[in-house]
Order: sequence, then C-alpha cells, then structure tokens
Amino acid sequence: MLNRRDFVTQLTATAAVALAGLPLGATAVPVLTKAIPTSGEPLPVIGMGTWITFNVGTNAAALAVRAQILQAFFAGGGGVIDSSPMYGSAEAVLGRLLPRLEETQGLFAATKVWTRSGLAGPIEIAESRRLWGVERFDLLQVHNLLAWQEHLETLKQMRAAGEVGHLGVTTSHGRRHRDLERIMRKEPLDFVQLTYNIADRQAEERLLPLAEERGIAVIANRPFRRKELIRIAEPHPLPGWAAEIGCRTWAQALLKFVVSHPAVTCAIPATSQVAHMRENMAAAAGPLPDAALRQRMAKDFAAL
Amino acid sequence: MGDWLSYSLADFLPLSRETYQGLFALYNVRFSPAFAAGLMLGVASLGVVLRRQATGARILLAGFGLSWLWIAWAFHLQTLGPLVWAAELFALLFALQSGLLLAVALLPLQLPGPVRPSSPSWLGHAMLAMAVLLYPLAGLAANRNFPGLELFGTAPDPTAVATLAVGTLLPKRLALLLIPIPAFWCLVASLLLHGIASPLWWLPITAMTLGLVLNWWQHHGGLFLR
Repeated sequence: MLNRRDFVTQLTATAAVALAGLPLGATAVPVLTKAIPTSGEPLPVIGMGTWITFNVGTNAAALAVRAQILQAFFAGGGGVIDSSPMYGSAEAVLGRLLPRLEETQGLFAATKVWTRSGLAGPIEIAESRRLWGVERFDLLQVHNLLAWQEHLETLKQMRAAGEVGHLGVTTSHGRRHRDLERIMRKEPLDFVQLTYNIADRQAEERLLPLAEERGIAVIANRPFRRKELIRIAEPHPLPGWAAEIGCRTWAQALLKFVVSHPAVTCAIPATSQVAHMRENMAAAAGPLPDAALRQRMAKDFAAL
Repeated sequence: MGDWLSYSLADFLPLSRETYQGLFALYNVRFSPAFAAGLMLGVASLGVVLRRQATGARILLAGFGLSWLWIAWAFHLQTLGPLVWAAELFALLFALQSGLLLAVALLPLQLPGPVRPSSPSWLGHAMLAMAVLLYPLAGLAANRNFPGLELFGTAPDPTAVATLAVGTLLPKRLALLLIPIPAFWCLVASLLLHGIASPLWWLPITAMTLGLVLNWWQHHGGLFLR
C-alpha cells in the first residue's frame, strides 16, 4: 500500500476542497488528483458520469435531486463531469442546474461528439455548448469511435484554435480495443475513455500501458459495471484491507481499485442518489492501494 | 459482429424506469384535456363496435387515426423525444399508422360491411375493452400512481393494443393493412420495458400475440383454435 509520503509524491494532493456543503467544523480533506499528461492540469481522481442518471428532462423533483448530487460532487472536490449528446436531456439538465449552484469551482466540462457525419460535428458541438451553457469544453471526445477520423480532424483544429482544452476518443464495455489501440498509437490524443473496473481488466494488457507510454490521460467508465459489481459485493463484509485504504464501503474500494492503476487519471461513476455521490467522493481522499494490494483486491473480489 | 452481440438492450436506453414512468405523469398533466378525450374516445369506440355500422366504423377509424397522430406529436416528439433519440423514429411510425387509419376512414373507398359475428370477433371486442379499461390499470399493479397511468388514446401501448383488437372487427384486407405497425410497436414496447427492468415488460408482447392470433383466427376461418 502506498504510504502517505509516497502518495503525496506520486499524486498532486490539492487542498482546494470546496468547503460548501461540509458541516461546520469539518476539516477539508485533500482530494487526490492526477495530472493530465499533455497539459499538466491536475484532475480529481473521481469525476462523474451522466448516462441515464441525468436524463430526467424537466421533472422538477428529479431535477432537485440532481442539483443536490452536483452540490455534493463539488463539495467533495469533484472535477470531471462527463456527458454526451447521446444521453438524451443530460446536457440540458447540466446546463439548467450548473448556474444555480453556488460552487462549481474545479468543473472540468467533458462531452462528446456523436454523429455519423463529420460535417455535422461542429454543429452538434455548438449545440452541446449551448445546452451546457459553457463557452468552451475542457474536453471533447469522439463517442464510441463514431466517424472518428472526421471528428478528430475537427477537434484538432479546435484545440489548435483554443476552442477546446483537450481532445480524446471513447469506447466502452471493452469493445473495439484494437481500433482504440491503433488510434492511440497514431493520433495526438490528450484522453482516452474506456471501461475499466475490478472485473473488466482487459485494458491492463495493452491499452493502459500504451496510455502511460504515450502520455494519454485515461478516464475509466463503468467502474461499477452499472450497479452489478456493487450488487455482487455488498452482501459480503468488507475485507480487512479496506480499512487500510480508508474505505468504509465496497463502492469506495471498487473506485480506489480503478483509480490506483498508474495509467488511470480518473473514474466517472454515475449516480442518481445524493448519498451515493457523497460515498463516491469519499474515495477521492486517503491512501490508494499499491500493486500488491490491488492484486489481493482483485483476487478477493473474484472469490465473492 | 462480435462487438454488436456483446451489447444488451439496456445499453441503448438512456433513461431509467423511474424517469420513463415519471414522463407519463408529466405528460398526462401537461396534456390533461387530451387525456380525457382519449378516454372518451375509447369508451365511445366500445359502443361503436357493438352497433356494427359502416359509418360508425369510419368514425372509429378516424378517431383512432387522430389518436395515433396525437401520440406521434405529443408523446414521442414532445415528451419522449428530448430523452430518447429514437423517439423521432417512433413518431414517424405512429404518423404512418395515423395516415393509414385516416385514409381508410376518410377516403371514398368502398368500405366493406362489417365482418360476420364470430368467436374471434367477440374476443376482439373483449380485447378492445381490456385495452381501453383494464390495460391502464396494470400500471397500478406495478406501483404506479394514477396520474402516471398509460391510457388509451394518449399513451402508445394501450392504443396499439386497441388497434390490434379493431383488426379482428375489420375485413381481412384492411386488417392486413392496419395491424402490422401496432404489432411491431407492441414488440418495441416490450423490449423497451424489458430494457428498463419494468415488471410489466411482458404485457405488450402478450397482447400482440393474442391480437395476432385473434386476427388470424378471424380472417382465416379458424385455422387455429378450431
């Protein structure tokens, strides 16, 4: 397990935890961050996804809960919010709620371009900007490698013009890893997004080492394989090693497994519950497992 | 191909069961006059089919056509569209069915007389009554509140089931024209509900099977269930 000093040297521990939402007298815990290799910008290791959970349209009750989720996210020092035009109303919901929050410092706005037409890409990106209410995205990604050649050209031009902070490509569910590897070798990517969790570890074989070698930041999606991994784990008591890495729940342990891989920059769990967001954000603090403990965690989980 | 086979239906559905069900509550409140009109049309259609008159049949088909058109616009485009990209395709499908129903009802076609009374046509009556009166109540069994129920005339599933039932009351050629889209929709609806883990996912596909069997029985002289 990494000790505190190792941890501080390997990760940038930022004390810029938003105090909003913390109870009076609470002590700000440094949030674990990792640097984006191409820009050096530090990113909190726990971000959030919006697939399904933020596609709630104009339902007032559901919007109120999402506002609280975002509040808990920023209060916990969250950074990356990842969405896509494919996610229905999720971008519009973010655009509606973000301006209402008192605290959005640290927001790293990430969305995707998702259209078969290269020509339609810029139009879709402009619409996403309008929906989010942001002047520019920190990260634009080609969703599931759809028309990736055309869209990457657009994104490269936008990055050169300063119209987007970073660019990347995404895949999920362990699909199209060979295509992704080819793109990672050939293209000047800032980010890749792929599925990585304690049960889906194919990316460890080639993609994660390649990301380290090429200096590409990695966003890990599906850290809980939706809820499946938590459902598997929760009936079982937490093993003793959980306390060593400051985890009180299986969800935190599963997240720490993901973000402790040296190549992974951040994980983006999605939730529709405020309590779960607080639980997720707690995984962005404290020690991370080292390589030996990671092996033990994977072995213990496989035995459940 | 291997990649495609690794997808599950849920991977394509960007909304949760709670959100989908919540949509109906918002939809029914937003378009409450239509909600009432749809119910009245449903009850009136039961009376029309019992009278078995060609004029009544035209009125019934026109009413159904307007319902399909309403659902295309108000539900698929206005309500589901912002949440599910495929809703635009659903709207096209419903608009097409509306066109077929309205064409049969309004164009000066030779509308054949009513079909002979038979066991399947009476079962068709029963199925229509179930689609209008009982189908919406199934939501209550799945812990849905009354304002969020799916009602004939404004919600796609009971309207499709009712249209399948009407097929048993029409001559064969018209039935062949008017039941494929409702049957297809019932299949889509079941897949959608299964994808969001709804306990009622089996309902549309069961109604589709029943509707197709009744139509076959009615129009093929009892090849089945003789």
